[in-house]
Amino acid sequence: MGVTLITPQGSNFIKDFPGQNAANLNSIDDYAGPCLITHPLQTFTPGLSASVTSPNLGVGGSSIAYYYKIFDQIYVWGEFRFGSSGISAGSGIYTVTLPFVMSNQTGTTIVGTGLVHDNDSNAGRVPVLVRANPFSNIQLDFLVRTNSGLANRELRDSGYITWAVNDGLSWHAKFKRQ
Amino acid sequence: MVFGYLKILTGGAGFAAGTGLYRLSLPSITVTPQIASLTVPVAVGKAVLYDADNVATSSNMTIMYESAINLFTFRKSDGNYWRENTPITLAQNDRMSGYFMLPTSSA
Repeated sequence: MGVTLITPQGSNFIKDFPGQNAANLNSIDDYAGPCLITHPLQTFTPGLSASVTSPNLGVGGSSIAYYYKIFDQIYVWGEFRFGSSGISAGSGIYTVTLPFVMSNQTGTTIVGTGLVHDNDSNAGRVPVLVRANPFSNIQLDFLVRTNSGLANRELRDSGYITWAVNDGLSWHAKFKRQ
Repeated sequence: MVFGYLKILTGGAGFAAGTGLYRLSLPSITVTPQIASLTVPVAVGKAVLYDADNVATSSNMTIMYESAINLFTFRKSDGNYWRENTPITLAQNDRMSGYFMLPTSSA
């Protein structure tokens, strides 16, 4: 991805140039992200869903992430946590949405790591790999090492993890945006 | 933002594994308070522990930043902490290396 800039021109160059130049600078600012003018850390709410029925994080549950947008490179740290009551694990493979569309080059690659937070037991604090979702370039999913150690499968509502109150997932990732 | 690369090599003589879970201090940075506001320790990187005696017992670990103590900890594949006797009994010439990335207050 690059920045498409205007070549200043017009019937009255002296008059037209400032506006065209301002448009170019806005394009550069937008491409670079806030790193040129302020602290670049931004926040967003990753949308947590599952392939069949989305989970309900319940009372006090949350999903939050922070990211740097530096030109076309995105660095993100996030977590979701189930609340203290009224939770539902939903059904199917878990995904979280991103504020940016990942570049085609990102594909289905591994873009980060994470850890399931079992609030009650170290044994449930399972490491995960963060993957660019093969079916959506604006979503991540998470791979859990299977018991055999020979393969990974997607983090989901059940299987290797039994979600309970105050459980969650922390993760980080780095990818290239479109 | 800071990218860091870690390496620990236990010596060939006089090494003592100590007792308890292993933690590492951060470089001279101030992590952004937003990260400290996350409710659980956040995964910030990946590490590998190399067993000099038996490569088959080498392990991957997730590097965690624990804002409550401002230190790095390490979680093994079974979810528990890295410590002196697990996943291996740390001994001479063992190695740990990894990377992390953290947002800092100074951007």
